[in-house]
Amino acid sequence: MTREPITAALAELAERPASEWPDALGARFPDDPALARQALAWLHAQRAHAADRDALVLGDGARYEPGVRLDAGATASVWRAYDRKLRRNVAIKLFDAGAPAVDEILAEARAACEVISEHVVRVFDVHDGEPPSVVPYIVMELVGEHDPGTGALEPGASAATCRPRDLWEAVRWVRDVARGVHDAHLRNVFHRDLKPHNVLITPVSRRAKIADFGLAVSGAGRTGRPPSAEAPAGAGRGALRIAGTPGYMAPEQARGLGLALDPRDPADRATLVAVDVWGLGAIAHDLLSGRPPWPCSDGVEAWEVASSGARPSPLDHAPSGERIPARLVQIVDRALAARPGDRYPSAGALADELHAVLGCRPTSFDRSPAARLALWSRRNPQLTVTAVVAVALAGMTLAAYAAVLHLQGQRTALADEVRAALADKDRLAEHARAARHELDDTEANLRAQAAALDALRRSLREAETEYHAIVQAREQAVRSASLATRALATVRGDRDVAEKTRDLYESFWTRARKDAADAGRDRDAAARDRDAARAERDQAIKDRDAARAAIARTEHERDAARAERDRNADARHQAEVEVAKLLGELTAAVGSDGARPAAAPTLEVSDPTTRGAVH
Amino acid sequence: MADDQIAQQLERIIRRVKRSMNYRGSYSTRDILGSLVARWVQSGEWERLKQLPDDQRHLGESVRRFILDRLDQLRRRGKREELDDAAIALPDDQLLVEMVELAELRAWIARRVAELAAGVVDARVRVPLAEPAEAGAILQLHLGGRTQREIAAARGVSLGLVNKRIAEGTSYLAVLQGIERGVL
Repeated sequence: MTREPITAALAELAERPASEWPDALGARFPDDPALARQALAWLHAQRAHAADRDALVLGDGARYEPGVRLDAGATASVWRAYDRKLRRNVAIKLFDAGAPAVDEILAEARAACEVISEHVVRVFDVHDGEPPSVVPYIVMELVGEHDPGTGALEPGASAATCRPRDLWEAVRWVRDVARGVHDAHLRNVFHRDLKPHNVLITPVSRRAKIADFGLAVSGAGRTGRPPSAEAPAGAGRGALRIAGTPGYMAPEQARGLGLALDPRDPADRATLVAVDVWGLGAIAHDLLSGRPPWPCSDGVEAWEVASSGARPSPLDHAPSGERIPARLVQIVDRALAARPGDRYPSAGALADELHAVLGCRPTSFDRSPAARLALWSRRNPQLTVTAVVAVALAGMTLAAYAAVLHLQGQRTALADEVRAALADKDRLAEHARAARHELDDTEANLRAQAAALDALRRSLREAETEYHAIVQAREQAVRSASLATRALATVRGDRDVAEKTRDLYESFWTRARKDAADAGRDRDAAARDRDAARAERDQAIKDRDAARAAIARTEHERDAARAERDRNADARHQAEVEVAKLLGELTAAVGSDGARPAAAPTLEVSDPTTRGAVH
Repeated sequence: MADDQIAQQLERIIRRVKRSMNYRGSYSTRDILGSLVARWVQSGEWERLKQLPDDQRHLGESVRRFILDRLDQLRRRGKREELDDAAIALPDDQLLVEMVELAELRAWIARRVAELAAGVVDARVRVPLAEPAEAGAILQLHLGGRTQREIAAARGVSLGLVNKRIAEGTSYLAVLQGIERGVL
């Protein structure tokens, strides 16, 4: 058997009453009873899934004409319908068979009816499931608007599906929801299941309304699921009741709220208000950041995180990447405070804060004057511009006035100065005339003094010339004296050498004379001993001859020394003449300069002849 | 088995499958307890107890101890001081058994839906599925507590198609459950 005949057979049978299915399937698949049974089960399951719509038709079919399915959840589906009696479009929340008990549904409808608010979906009617209806349902306001282009009525969608276009739309939605929640609180109705899925958005004007009061609790009587449905048998007042969506639960809600919470009791009421304020913060967190405060994959895991006292996931960036303003983060953080007492005291206070943010008005966090001024400027841009321009104009006017006053003062001062200057001018003219006379006299004196000065300058130049000549002469004399001194030193050196030579010759002469004396004595001894030693006489004669030769040499040397002495004497004489000449020149030069000449070098010339005779 | 008996069993199976697939976004105490019971089943304790005779299983005691241990762990993690004064009252044994069965069925459904999402269809089911992978993916979102409109928006398909795929998937699971229970 191919799939097409089976599919076609099922599609055909699905339109027929269920009572006809067994025979029809037996006839269609006579050789395959197993397939027929599977097809029968398939058809029953399909019919069970579609039963709710049939129930709507069977129920108050005469009044409500069913339309399209708007949405479907775990326990109910929402249909668009037309109320024939009142001739209006409505939405019908049709509960599945075996889903919430009738009293819960009634309580939900009553809680919603209790609240009068433009931000809460209105409930028109409820059917408790009594015959002829099969399942209970609630008739509600259809959150929809006519499309301005086509004129067709468009239904709204939940905020979980229809996400905000930007941060400010999200803030507007949360503000509207907070207003609705506050209105509900005023009627002692507490929602306890606030999340984007329970916020419906109108399609054109995009306004937000709260729906689904299934878990609400009311001061007029417990609504939502009563203890019998939530708590196991035997649960007393001390037993806890967990109700809500784990990803959006307040911590104390996740830890369980007492079954006997009484909205009329101030303490219990504060607890319930805090839970809803948290829920509003959770909606804001989701709409702003795109994720719930407890983003977990599993409901029970989110419940565990919520009840563990952890901090919600940080609120920093929108899904678009846009940074969430710090003022919004502060507000959401306060709404999501771990301790209920740290949250906003009411949903209305939170709505006011968000309204302030939308209107650029200061919130409870904007206490500084600078922040308030900045917000005022953003709130009143035209006034701000006007004020700035006015202040600028006033400043400019004041500056101009001050400048005029300053100029006037300057003009007066200048006039006084002019008058004083004119008086000074006359006085100065008189002074100038006197000064001119004095100047003429002074010029004459100066001219005379200049002539005298020129004469003096000429004399000075001449004196300078003479002085330079004297200086040159003196320098020449000094140089000559220096040369003479060096020559004298040379002469003195030569003289010392001659004296040493002379002393040497004297010693030689002394020794020669001694030798001569000895030779004489030897000659005498030889003469005396001539007879005794003729041989020695010859020797003595030889010695004598040798001595004579030596004497002759000595004499020759003596003559040479004398000649040398004579030359030295000539040189000394010549040096003395030159020194005397130089001294004369020096004396003459000093005397012409008008100054005492420097002490001429004194020359001490000793005559070697006076110190010893040269033999 | 008589036809009326088969019909009754089928109706019961369909009702249980449909009920098991009603995953809600909103949780109640019973949902939390149901999730904890599912974790108890995943822990393997149920498989061990099933090996024991009925009079030795003490199912309720085992589940209760598991849940209390879990709550105690949470209390030790920090701020569950409120639970010291008022504890969550646990259901009786009969209700616990029902919750265990429901948890088993949910685990079974989750496995089958994951297979469908992977395009795997059980060969024993002879009624064809049009788009098994799409039906599996949509059913996974449905089991995650998403509404049909949210699923349609997430997958970019029409609301009617989402409803159709959920109906097909539910029928497939009901048939497969009937086969495994020996009814079909």
